[in-house]
Amino acid sequence: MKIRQFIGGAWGQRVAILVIICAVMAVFERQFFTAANAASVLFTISVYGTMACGMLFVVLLGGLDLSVGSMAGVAACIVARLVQDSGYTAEGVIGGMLVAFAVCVAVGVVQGMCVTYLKMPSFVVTLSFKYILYGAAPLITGGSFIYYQGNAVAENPVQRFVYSIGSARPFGVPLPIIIFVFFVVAALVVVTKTTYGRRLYAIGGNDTASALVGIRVRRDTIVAYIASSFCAAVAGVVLSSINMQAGQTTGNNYEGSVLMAMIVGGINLAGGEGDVAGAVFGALFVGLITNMMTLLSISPDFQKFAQGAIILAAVCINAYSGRRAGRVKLATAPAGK
Amino acid sequence: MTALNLEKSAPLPSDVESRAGQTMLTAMGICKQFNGIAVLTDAGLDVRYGEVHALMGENGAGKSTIIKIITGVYQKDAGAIFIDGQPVEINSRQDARNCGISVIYQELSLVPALTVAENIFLGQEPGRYGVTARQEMRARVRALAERYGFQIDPDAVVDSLGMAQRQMVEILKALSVDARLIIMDEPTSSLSNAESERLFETIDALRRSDVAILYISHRLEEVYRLSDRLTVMRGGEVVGVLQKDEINPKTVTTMMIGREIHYADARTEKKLFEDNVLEVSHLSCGKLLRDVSFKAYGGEILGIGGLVGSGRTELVKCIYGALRRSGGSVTLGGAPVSKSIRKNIRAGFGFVPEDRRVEGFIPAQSIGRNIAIASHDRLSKAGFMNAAAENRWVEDAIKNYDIRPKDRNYRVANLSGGNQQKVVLGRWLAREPGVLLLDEPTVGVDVGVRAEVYEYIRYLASRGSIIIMVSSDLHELTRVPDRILVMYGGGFFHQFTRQTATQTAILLAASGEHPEEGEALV
Repeated sequence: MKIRQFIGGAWGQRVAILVIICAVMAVFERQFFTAANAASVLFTISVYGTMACGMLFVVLLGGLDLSVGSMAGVAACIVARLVQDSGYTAEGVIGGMLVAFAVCVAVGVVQGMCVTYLKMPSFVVTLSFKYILYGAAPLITGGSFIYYQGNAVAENPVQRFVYSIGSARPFGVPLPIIIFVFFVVAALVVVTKTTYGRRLYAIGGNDTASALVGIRVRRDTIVAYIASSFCAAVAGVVLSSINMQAGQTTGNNYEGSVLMAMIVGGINLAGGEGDVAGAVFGALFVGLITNMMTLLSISPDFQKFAQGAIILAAVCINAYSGRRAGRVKLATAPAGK
Repeated sequence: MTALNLEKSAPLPSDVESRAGQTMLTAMGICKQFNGIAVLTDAGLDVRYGEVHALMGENGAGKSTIIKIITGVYQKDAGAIFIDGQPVEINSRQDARNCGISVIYQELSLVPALTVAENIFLGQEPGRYGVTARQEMRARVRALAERYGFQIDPDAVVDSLGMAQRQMVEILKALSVDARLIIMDEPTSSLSNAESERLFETIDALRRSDVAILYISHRLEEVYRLSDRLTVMRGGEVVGVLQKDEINPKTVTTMMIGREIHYADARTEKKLFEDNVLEVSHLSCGKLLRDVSFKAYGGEILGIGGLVGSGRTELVKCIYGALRRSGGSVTLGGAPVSKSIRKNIRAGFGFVPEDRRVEGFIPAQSIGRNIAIASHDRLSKAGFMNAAAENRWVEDAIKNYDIRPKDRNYRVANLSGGNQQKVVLGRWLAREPGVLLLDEPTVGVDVGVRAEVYEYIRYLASRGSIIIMVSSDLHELTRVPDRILVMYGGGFFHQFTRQTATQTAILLAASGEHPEEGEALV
């Protein structure tokens, strides 16, 4: 078996890796297969995964979106603030979500314009917005955390609603997972079935050539930043509902885990190569590994060490196998299949 | 290792007995093969101190190969090289430097953010313990510049200098390590006329200081202006060495091309499709393209000749919308042509760029994706691709244009150059464009594929399309187009029909001399 296929390759290997992680956990830690833990893992994965579905667009173009964590935080804060201020009315919830999504989409447009019209590096633009948005969050909440009032049996339907986004289980499946699956399917359709998906790969693979076949590179790039920001906003709302709170640190630094999911999922950070399956696999992998380390009582500080090592190993494997295949770029899954 | 030492100031050229006229470099019997194909056969060259020795030849004549052997980039298979009469072995760039040979490359190797002095001493700064002796550096640069009569400020940041001055810095850099032979490869290709004139003054100053100069250029006028002797190469051999008074356009171009094979390709008069007409009037694009006007009809293959930098690439890119027009208008069938590439493609335009790797294909993508990318408008509905139509479209193109392997999922990066070009060309041919613009369509393409490309182009023209083909390949220009416009200095210079076009005449026109054949346009 080629090393290249080991991580980020065909579904067979990906599933094998996940099964191995689960098997190891089953042997060493009984708690892993409890219902409570399963829910915890799935919640984590759904938040990372929803963000990854959006960030995939930007990464396919050859960019990075380091602002998704802070973006999620700001969206969560806007919704929580407006819900609380309205006294848990339907207008407050609907208005809050509309405002939150509108703000995030607007920030996505600004980021996209900085990258296209001002020709600023994606990395710099989104890193700046990571801090800008992080710093803006306390202005929205008034400086402290906002705690949602609500539970499954609350009298006020809005209180039931804010609770259920994170905790409801229609047909026994947690709602965050359903939302995650919805975004996976949406991303899959866009990437594989639409002309926009084709253009994403084309621009990421060679933007000069793309412009010369009539692709509006700027417009398509801005749309990718919008998609990334929107998914981050949704993930933020879900996350705040799972935790029943929103504040400055909501979603903070999640972009690291999402990026790790991208790399492990074999998505070429130089653009043009990768698929939705890779992003999903990456999110599952990151969620499981994080949970595994927590259950094994590995301290959060050392978890960071392990995460760094995993990213390094994944990049190394990709680069090594790429070189063996005679390619220059970091690449794994062949595009176009 | 610093060659210029102020304490023991090297004697000025005038102080010592002049070495002008003595032979600096002699190369003889040089042979070189690549993969069994002879690129140089018994080639030779001699360059003397205090002379500008020009080297001319068509693309593929072996000029760059012999330069690379002299400068240690390639190793010769046979032959000998002498410096000052002594046999030497040059096996690396360092060997060449030690022999006093320096090359000024087309792409300059200066660091834009550093000053002139810093660039000249880059990597060998005077001083101790990593602390640069700035004063000493400046003084040395001044001394060096004075010695060769150059006007340059050692503290100027390179980024702020014009191209001619940057070349001057490159030359000073070479002289600072005691270069006695300076090789210049197409030094004026990125210079304006005024800047070229400054460079020529620099070269004159070098010649007076008894430096040997080997000058490679395609521009005849420069060669007449500068050179003392001229070596002409063709097909890997030296055809002859001309003295200053023997150099004239006719002789040089005839030597470069050799026996002219005239293709009396007696094809019957072509049918023109009068309703498909592209009209370009007074088109300008900054300084690169000035007030160009012409008409082309459906059924016609129009060739555009000229040197690199003559405005030919800018012309097709301007028509297509890839470069912003600064003046003039373009109409197709009476309707104005948009500035948007996207709209133009829908109106029937297609464009095959010169550098297919950079501007043509998407290397990491499959053959299928690369072909379909230009035709999403026909292969989708409401933003969704029609997979069945796409596959049919791609399979047809692969079959019609014989792209190998016949696997639409194969990565274009792994194809041969010829097949890559067929992918880029096939992407447009599949659309049957009303106007197909081609920039160097057969560069790096083998003979077999070349013939196929011509066949596809002719077929498309016979169906009523307008073909505009930019080419440097004289053989191709005399054979394929029905009419040839030669550009010079950003405008049209000379026009030929297929009957009047000869390779010599086109080359002459491209170099800025009106030949007897054809029709002068300025």
